[in-house]
Amino acid sequence: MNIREWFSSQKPCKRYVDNETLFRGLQQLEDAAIVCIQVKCLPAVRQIARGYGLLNEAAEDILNKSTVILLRKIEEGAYQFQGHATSTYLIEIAKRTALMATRSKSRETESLDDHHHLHDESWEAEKKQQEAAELIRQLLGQLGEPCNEVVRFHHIDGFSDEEVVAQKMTRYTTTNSLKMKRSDCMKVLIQMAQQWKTSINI
Amino acid sequence: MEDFDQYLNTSSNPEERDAARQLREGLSLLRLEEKVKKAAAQRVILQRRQRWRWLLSAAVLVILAGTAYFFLRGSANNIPARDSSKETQSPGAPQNRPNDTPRNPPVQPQETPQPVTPVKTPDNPETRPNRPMAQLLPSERLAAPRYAAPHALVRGENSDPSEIQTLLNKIWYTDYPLRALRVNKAYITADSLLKKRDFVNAFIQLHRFDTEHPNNDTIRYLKGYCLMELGQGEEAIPYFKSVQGRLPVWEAQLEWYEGLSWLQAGNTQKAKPIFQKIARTKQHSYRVPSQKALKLMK
Repeated sequence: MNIREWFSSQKPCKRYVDNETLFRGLQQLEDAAIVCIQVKCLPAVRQIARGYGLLNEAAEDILNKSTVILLRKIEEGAYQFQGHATSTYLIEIAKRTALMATRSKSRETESLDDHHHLHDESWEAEKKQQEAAELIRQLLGQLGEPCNEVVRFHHIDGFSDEEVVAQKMTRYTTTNSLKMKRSDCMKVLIQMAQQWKTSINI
Repeated sequence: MEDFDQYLNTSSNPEERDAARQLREGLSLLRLEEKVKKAAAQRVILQRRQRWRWLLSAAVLVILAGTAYFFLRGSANNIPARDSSKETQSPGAPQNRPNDTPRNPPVQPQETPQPVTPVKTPDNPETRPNRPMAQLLPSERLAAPRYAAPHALVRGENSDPSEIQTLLNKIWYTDYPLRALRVNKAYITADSLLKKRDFVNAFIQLHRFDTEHPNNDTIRYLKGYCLMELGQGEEAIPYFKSVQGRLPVWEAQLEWYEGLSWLQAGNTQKAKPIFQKIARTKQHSYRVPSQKALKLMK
């Protein structure tokens, strides 16, 4: 980056003039929209974290986790735009996430009755999904190369097959061969997940 | 997600379908996590950049403020500090002046003289070449005097020396350095002595210059001023007369000093017309003290 670029970097929320534009940006998973909402909410999240006796680093973590929850809710259609600021909703999520973080920190010393409101279905589902994501991360690691990167490029990083082939990101030179390989890898991954599930049930 | 869809459509095993669904959800969450991680990294860079921008702006502001401060302070140093007491101090002799004989030495001033620094005015000699080093424009405000009248060597036969001295104490109005005085290097010693009110040595110094540079108006003017401050008005008059009409900017002060010198010499008859002339001139710098002198001389 040169000095000119350094000085000319725009404000993150410049593109998002109102709540709806920002919501649409988040719906499209635009990086700038995510940066914008995070910049808007960070001071409040820091304050929340301080309120729970957490460090600034924890505030960053809470913000990121809360943003993931928000994006998923938007993606699933659980949160729809009704004219309100999405940042307010994100702060509400962050409050609960911070509370969860506090709970996990002091699980051994505090009574669960103090946090009875956390035991609602949505938060249990959140927790399960986070655990599932962690499991898949582990399974992908076990899958090895090239399956790991073939699956990752498509399902996690969001590259199109054309991009992967054009930029020679894998050894596959055509989109068809790439798709075939990914299909095989997915089968293996599903089998691994199934095996893991069976082992847990046992 | 075509891989999952394909798998879910082709596979009939419910356990496999369930596993595939879970996998799809997990991958979707991972994708969002990666997206947020990437955005968070961008945000951190952005915030760091903004912080640096603030710091740089603050540094630039501090530098600008510092430069402005030093510039303004430098300008302020070039303007002579005005003594506020000057504005209120009335001209004339000090209150506790001993009533001694005319031969006694003059009372030493209590105040320290101000440094000689020319005023940055449009009429400043520094901005106008070939102007004399000592001058006072008629339009310039008269500085309040800081020193009492010297004990005049009154020689007039028809005048009462103590009366004259009392009058001089009331109207004495001189000041050095002159407000528009420019001091050349050659005159630094004389100027320094004049500031210390060491008129005897200043006169000696000026006399030495006078022999080296005869007919120098400024030297003659200052010599006259020295003699007047030494109470030797009669000796001062020829010097003042010799430079009269040479430079219009000197005229007002020369007239006033000549009037004072005539009084010192005990010649009120010669002093009075001069004060009357000054009092009639509306723009004259010494109009008010001249009016006062005339009032007291009645």
